[in-house]
Amino acid sequence: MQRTYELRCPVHGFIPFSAWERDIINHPAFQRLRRIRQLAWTDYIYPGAMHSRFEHSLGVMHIASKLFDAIVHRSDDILKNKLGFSDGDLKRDKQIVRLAALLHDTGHSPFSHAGEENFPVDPLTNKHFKHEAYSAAVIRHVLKDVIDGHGQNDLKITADQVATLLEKGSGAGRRTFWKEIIDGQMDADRMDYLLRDSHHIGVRYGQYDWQRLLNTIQIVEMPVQKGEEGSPESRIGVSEGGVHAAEALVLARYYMFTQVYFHKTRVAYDHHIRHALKAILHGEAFPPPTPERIVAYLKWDDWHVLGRLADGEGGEHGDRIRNRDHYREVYHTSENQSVREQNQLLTVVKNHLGNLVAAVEPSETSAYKLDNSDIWVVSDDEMRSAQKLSQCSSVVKNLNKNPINIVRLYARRERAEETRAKVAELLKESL
Amino acid sequence: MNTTTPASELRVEVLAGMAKLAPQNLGHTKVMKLCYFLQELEGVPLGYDFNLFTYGPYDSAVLTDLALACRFGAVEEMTVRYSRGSGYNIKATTGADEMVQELNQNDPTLFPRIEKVVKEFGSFGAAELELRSTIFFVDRELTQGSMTSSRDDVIERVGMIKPHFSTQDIRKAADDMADKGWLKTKTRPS
Repeated sequence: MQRTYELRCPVHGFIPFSAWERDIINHPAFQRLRRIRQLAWTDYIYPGAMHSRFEHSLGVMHIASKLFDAIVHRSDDILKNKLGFSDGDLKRDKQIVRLAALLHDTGHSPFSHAGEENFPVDPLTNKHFKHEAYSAAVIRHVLKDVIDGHGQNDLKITADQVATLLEKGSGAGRRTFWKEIIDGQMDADRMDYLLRDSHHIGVRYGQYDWQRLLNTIQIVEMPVQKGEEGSPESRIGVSEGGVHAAEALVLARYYMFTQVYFHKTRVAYDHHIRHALKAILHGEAFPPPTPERIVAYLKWDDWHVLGRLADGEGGEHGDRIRNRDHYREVYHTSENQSVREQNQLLTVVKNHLGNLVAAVEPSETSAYKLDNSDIWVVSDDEMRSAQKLSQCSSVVKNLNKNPINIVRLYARRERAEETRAKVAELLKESL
Repeated sequence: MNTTTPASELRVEVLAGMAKLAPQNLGHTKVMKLCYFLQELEGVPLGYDFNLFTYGPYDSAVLTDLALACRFGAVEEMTVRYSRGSGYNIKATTGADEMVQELNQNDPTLFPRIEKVVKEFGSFGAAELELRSTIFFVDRELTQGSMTSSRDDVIERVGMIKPHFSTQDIRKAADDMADKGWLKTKTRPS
């Protein structure tokens, strides 16, 4: 029997892991996550936001594991008799889900999402690579030995099997079913970062009852629509008792975006770090996620960038970060700006403000998507078929009608007052 | 500076065109899959990045654009109740005409291509569209670069991802798509 280790987590208490997982955690490619802060420069606004992708990744593994166990416990019959999973398959899939959750952020660039603009273009799709492609490459090419070749890998799991669960393709085959635990509207990533970011920052916006979600998560058989053939599709969802916990998760995300992730000063620092990175990279992109270049990419972490910033290589934006001399917000639209507001602002900036406005930053997200990724809810009443969360909860449904869509104008500190007054005057005139 | 970049404006115009042409019951799944086929089969550069789930290719940006299209007054969305649940019905509004006009001014080839995709796939139900888009996704993935997979490999993998469909149903849909020249994989010689 493998020895179990544990690590103390400020959010979940003790997080257990195996000797094999400990060796993966100790690998330099995973240890690098200690040097990538979860929320980039958010500590300039909320001083507690100093936590890293390292502890978040452990938390995601922990939650993913709990979700997996809860689904198997509550939906054992569907999994085995309808979907054809054996006990062996489930044991194996749980380990793959745990590793995919643990390693899902290994491809993050310095300062988390702020660096992603500097990813190169994927020649196959003509679009910028995403950090998931980097994570998959790290797993396949850097962590392969500690996964495939590890002495305690009794289940003969391969790095490729772990990587495919993070990728957008069909390589995961039947395990695609578990993708929703890693990437969905109720996934382990989201469930952990909301709780963890709230904890470190000292806000309560990201709190929700995750234990209730664990207590109600199960496989839901979706209704077959009239005129369509086939047996019902099975999806991960919650029982009726979990509706309000799921609703709270959606609201937590909405509040965290409006209060923390889209905070005006944080958005300004995202702008500065993006441009400072461009200066450090001299307009080049990060190395691509290829077998030959992935090791070179992993040299890029926050420490590396901080050193370059300290040496003055970040240009004007690097200096602004060093001196906490960020651009000042001079105007923002409403949270759900109208087309009229957008057009007014566009005209004003274009025609009258010239270089007074140093940056225009849109912040957009939808708190919840009303579509196939909707969380499914199974009714306690057997006569009623499963429904989407957005149909059970008018709060969730209405949130989607007005996605967060804020546009902010920024000016240099020394010209902020002047610009602010000018914008106000011009917008008043255009009304 | 506008948050509606030229790319998202184009996508909203495309959605307006789609809503105008769709015969009936244009729900979220149908919009998602029609956009998928428009981009991947017809080659219209919409800029979406589709990820495969059990419910087929998916990019949440499509729904963001749909919400934008609603706010711009190009389409309207209504909840409809069925005997076994409910869904959404998306319809073109009078604002859609203006959007389609702009679309035609920007690129006159686009509207006929939307027409073609809606004609081919618009009458399918959500489940069938999920199946066909998954077949197409897997077919393209298994023929990328130097990969030389067969039609049977596609059918087998789709069967793993969508176990609620029988192999016979998957094969039937794949054969139909192959007959139209949409699949790159070939049947293995017996």
